[in-house]
Amino acid sequence: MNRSTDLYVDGKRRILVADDEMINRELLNNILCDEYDVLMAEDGEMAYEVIRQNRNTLSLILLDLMMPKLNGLDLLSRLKETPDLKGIPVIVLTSDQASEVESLVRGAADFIPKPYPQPDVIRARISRSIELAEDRQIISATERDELTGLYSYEYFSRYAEQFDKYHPNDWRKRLGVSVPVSVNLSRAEMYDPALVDTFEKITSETGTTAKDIYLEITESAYVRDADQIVDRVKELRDHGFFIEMDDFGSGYSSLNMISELPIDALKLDMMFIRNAFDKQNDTRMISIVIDIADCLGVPVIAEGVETEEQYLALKKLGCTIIQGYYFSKPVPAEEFEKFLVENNA
Amino acid sequence: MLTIDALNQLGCNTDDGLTRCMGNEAFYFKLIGRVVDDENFQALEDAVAAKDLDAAFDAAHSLKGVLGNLALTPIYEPVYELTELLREKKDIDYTEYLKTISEKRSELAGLLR
Repeated sequence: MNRSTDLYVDGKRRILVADDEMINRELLNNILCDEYDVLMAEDGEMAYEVIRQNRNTLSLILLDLMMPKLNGLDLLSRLKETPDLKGIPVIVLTSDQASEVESLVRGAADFIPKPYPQPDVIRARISRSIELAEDRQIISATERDELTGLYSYEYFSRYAEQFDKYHPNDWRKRLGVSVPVSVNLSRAEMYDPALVDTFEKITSETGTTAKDIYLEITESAYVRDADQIVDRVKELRDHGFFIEMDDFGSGYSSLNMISELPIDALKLDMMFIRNAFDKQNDTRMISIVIDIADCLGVPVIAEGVETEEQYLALKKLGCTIIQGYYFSKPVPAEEFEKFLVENNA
Repeated sequence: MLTIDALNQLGCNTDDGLTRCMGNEAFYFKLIGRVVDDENFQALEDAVAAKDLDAAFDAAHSLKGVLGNLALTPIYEPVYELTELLREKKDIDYTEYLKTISEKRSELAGLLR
């Protein structure tokens, strides 16, 4: 059964505090009860039972690691192995660093140390874990990202695998060309500590290299938690992946910040193209973006180009990479080879 | 009498404790009243006497978590040290630790009377 993405009980999200110490449970309940519908469990077995019963309404579990009957780490593993429970984010409560690491490895979303930090810190960690889990839920609910209309990288990876299996002598080898594939990354995925590993796995399993994969990260992803996102982008870039800043011009990043960002290309928000060629034929905003890109020493990619007039105007403005229906509608992989041969000739 | 001043004089870090109680003094005092009577103190002594270091660790660890959250520093500190020794199953004489813990607990209990 799929967990609902709209998890409210009487206007509050429901969370579980599992801790064998009554005083610790009461402290957390007192901090959280205004904002959340708080359930409590005093040992591991009871916690598991409460989780099972509330699996469709539970937004988060706060889990003490040392509990009688079933300890927190074993309970965590059990949850992560159970398909309809593994999507519920778990924050572990522990004072022990080795346990923190162990629980993150076993799939915990975060940890809260003991003695507890400030109530504001506890609340922030909880709301962030819930938000991330819900973002992830929306994205993984479908293989196709509803927001962008593009496929997720798991899908891409499986597709590439299948494609290679049935096309052992595919055009990449026959024509000796490499056509990079662009992949959209969501803000939620940028927090995934295994992100770089996942892409390394995809490249090694599909016989491609990092250079074959362009990662599109929307400009608005950089706005919140900028430092963390920038670090992750740097990490991906250090591994050789080409980073495109997507929808540039729509995300309110400051010019000051852009100069610090590790990117390889700016992808112009489609809105610019649409507005520029709409009525007034005013391409001044596009020129500004191209100037910014020149200043950063990266190319501008224009998308959504539909007519020869638009294509020529963009070229004249200094835009070197252009995509859109003017060249071709999206085609299935089988037809792509034909397209490639005809257009290379 | 149990007051913030009296707790501070014993060396408790009441600012931290009260913050975790969202500034609610009555709630803070209620929880302190409960921890003084926590059965894990007796369980700890019994387990050490029986040389059951696993059971002693469980009791000490539970106490450590609660005492730390309530910032009852004078008892928290010896319990913390004891927990770490028990975690490594050190075969040593724990009586001094138990004595200190018992004394500090009595001081705190004195405020409740």
